[in-house]
Amino acid sequence: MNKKLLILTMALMKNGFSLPKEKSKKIKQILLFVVLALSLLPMAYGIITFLRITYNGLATVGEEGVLLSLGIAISAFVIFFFGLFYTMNTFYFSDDVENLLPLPIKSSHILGAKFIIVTIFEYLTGCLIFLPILIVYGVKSGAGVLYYVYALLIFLTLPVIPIVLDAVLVMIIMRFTNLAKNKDAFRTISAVIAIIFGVGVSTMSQRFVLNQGAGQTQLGNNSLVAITSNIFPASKLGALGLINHGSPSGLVYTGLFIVVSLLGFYLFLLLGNKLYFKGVTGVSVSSSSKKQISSEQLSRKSIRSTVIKSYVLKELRILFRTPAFFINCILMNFIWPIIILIPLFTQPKSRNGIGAIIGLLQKEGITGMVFVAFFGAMLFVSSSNGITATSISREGENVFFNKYIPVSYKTQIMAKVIAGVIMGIVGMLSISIVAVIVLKLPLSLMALICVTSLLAILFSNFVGIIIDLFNPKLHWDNEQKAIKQNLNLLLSMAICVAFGGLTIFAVIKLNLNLIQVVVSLVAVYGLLDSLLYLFLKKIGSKMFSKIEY
Amino acid sequence: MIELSKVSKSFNSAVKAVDNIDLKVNNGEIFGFLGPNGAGKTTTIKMVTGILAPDNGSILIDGLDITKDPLKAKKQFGFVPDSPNMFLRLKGFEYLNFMSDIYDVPTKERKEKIEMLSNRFEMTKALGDQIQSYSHGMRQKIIIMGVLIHNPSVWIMDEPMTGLDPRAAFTLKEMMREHADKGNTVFFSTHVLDVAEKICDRVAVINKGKLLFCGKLGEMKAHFKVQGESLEKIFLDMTEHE
Ligand SMILES: Nc1ncnc2c1ncn2[C@@H]1O[C@H](COP(=O)(O)OP(=O)(O)O)[C@@H](O)[C@H]1O
Ligand SMILES: [Mg+2]
Repeated sequence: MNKKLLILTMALMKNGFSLPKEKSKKIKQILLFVVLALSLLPMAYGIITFLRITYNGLATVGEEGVLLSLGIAISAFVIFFFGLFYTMNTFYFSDDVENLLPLPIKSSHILGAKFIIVTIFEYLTGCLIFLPILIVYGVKSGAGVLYYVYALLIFLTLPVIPIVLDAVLVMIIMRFTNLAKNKDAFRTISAVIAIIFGVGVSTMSQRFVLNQGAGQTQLGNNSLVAITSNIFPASKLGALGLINHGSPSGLVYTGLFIVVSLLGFYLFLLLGNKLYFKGVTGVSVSSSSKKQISSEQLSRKSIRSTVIKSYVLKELRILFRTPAFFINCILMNFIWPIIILIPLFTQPKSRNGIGAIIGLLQKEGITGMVFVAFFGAMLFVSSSNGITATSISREGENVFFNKYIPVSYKTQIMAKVIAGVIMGIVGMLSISIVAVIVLKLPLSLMALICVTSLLAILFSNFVGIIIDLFNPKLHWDNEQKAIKQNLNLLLSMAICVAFGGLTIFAVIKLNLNLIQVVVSLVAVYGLLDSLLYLFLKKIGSKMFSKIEY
Repeated sequence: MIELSKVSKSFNSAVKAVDNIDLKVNNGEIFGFLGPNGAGKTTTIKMVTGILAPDNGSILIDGLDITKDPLKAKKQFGFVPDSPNMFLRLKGFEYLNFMSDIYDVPTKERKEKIEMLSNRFEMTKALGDQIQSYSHGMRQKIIIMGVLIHNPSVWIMDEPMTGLDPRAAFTLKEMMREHADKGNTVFFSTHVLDVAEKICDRVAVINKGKLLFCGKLGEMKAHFKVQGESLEKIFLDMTEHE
């Protein structure tokens, strides 16, 4: 690779996950990594077990290749989905381009460096989804060294095409940004359109492919591979390369896969040169109306309120008005219901499945399960917005403000928690509405679920802020880094997922009925929340007072 | 009133950013804190305002200890930091209201204050816009207004004149004088000697963390002459900038 490109990539990445210089901070960072790894272990175990069982099932009908082809297709889809956020963040919300333009750097290098950054992030996504699939297939099928060589190559190449699609989509929509007057709002809206468009298109193409395939299903000899891989056409090459790793055709397929990806990258550079720089420059200029506020307006708007209310409002205003925060923290709350809806539109058959689920729901025994599943999901969803897990980090270099105002650290912490809880509740309600309308869950049950899940929301927000107080990431130079390159968010999600999984597991093992589930959830999480609250009150304030930029 | 006794601070190294400083700023005076870049002014001010914890020594604001009784002590002062790039996504009046809520300013009083301050600083047309759209000087002004709105007895300002146009700087100096004349305290830092010369009742000079002089401006020049070359140079450093 070109040396200049490498240097530029490193420069843009700086401030990312690099270890800090100070010793105490370094230790904290390493500790964070260890806890993160540990909390991901149960999930990894669950995924691998699931994959092994799936492989065995498929192998009995001679269709084990489906694991790979479906795996590649799903991974490509997930990479595409998260890539929408990554590309928007890296290309449009990290205001570094204007500093780069006056420097003697080729524009293709800027594009290339940003592309590489997104690709590196996607490798992390790939590690969670694609890597286990590759390994399970390799081990189970007793594949040789060549398989692993191909697997590595395909793993490294896989993100390229989804990211090219993301980048082109985002660049086209963002191209018009600097025509707008209120740029923040316009960028935010463009981002929302890009996400809806991206999810919509991939959903439609899946539906098309699956409908087409449904008629001609004959099992045996990995024939399903051809059908499933159509979701991302190029991914078929990768799957075929891996399955045929024993013969020369494997080499050809793998080679073709890489060539197609490189061509995609080249296309991205071509289009990027045309679209990107015109859309991104001038993005940091904001509009001003320069209109005088009338005396009445001022009276209406200048009304005294309590410190905590004013503080919460300030947090929410900043979250809503900063595009990088809005996309990652606010919009996230509305993403999950959409994800629930996707299979419904892509797989017509899943409607029958839902019918079956609703039938099951009528049975008393299973309601407890639904209840705890929703509770666990809420733990995950309310931690995924990262509002509290990045609430100290988001202050950045201005964290000194929190220290000279005469507002106790306890009040400030609670205001940040409340902001997170409010958005958590919004997320919960949006999922609930979908669940009631689409899954036809009884309203009374849903209401009970929501009230109980408040404890889950509180829990994830307490966990989030404790983690962020412990080691806030204050040194960032653009807003998206405070969230996207913040391990605290990942860690709090991992912990919440671990707790959610554990809770669901316990309920299944103990075979609890609805009443028992409600009572034990309220008791256990009520206690946990109280303990966390006491911890925050006593120790959290001290941690806050020790934070220095 | 601000009192520092034997205050020190070092940043994970042997060199002290602030070294054993004793300082007393009296009621009714404008006090200038002078020193070249990197002298330790900001570090001192951060300790006074509770942003940094001192390694040693004690700091009293109107008799309240900033480390032992932080909330009460913090109510006594208003602070203008050296960088005004805060709350960029809030609108001007939203920021002023936020500050008013934090410092318990009643509804009636805050409205009068907002109108008065925005007139005096010529910001009436900017209040409805996000601070992000302000120029450096306007950002500085809105932060200063955010301090003045809650009428603290002690003003602490880190390089407040940087970026202000001459008219706004004049207004600020005028207001500092009014405030001090009412028996209040004004404490501000600057690396430009000229700024201090016109308005300060007393000054302190700091370099490399050590206090070199504290007293009336008139006495300062004589003091530096007696002390020899090295101090002369510091003095030059300050006069040459800007
Ligand atoms: N957070 C910090 N970490 C390490 N060193 C610092 C930090 N802040 C200031 N310093 C050092 O302390 C000294 C005094 O800095 P400062 O108080 O900002 O000076 P001034 O405001 O007078 O220009 C400088 O040498 C500076 O490099
Ligand atoms: Mg300074």
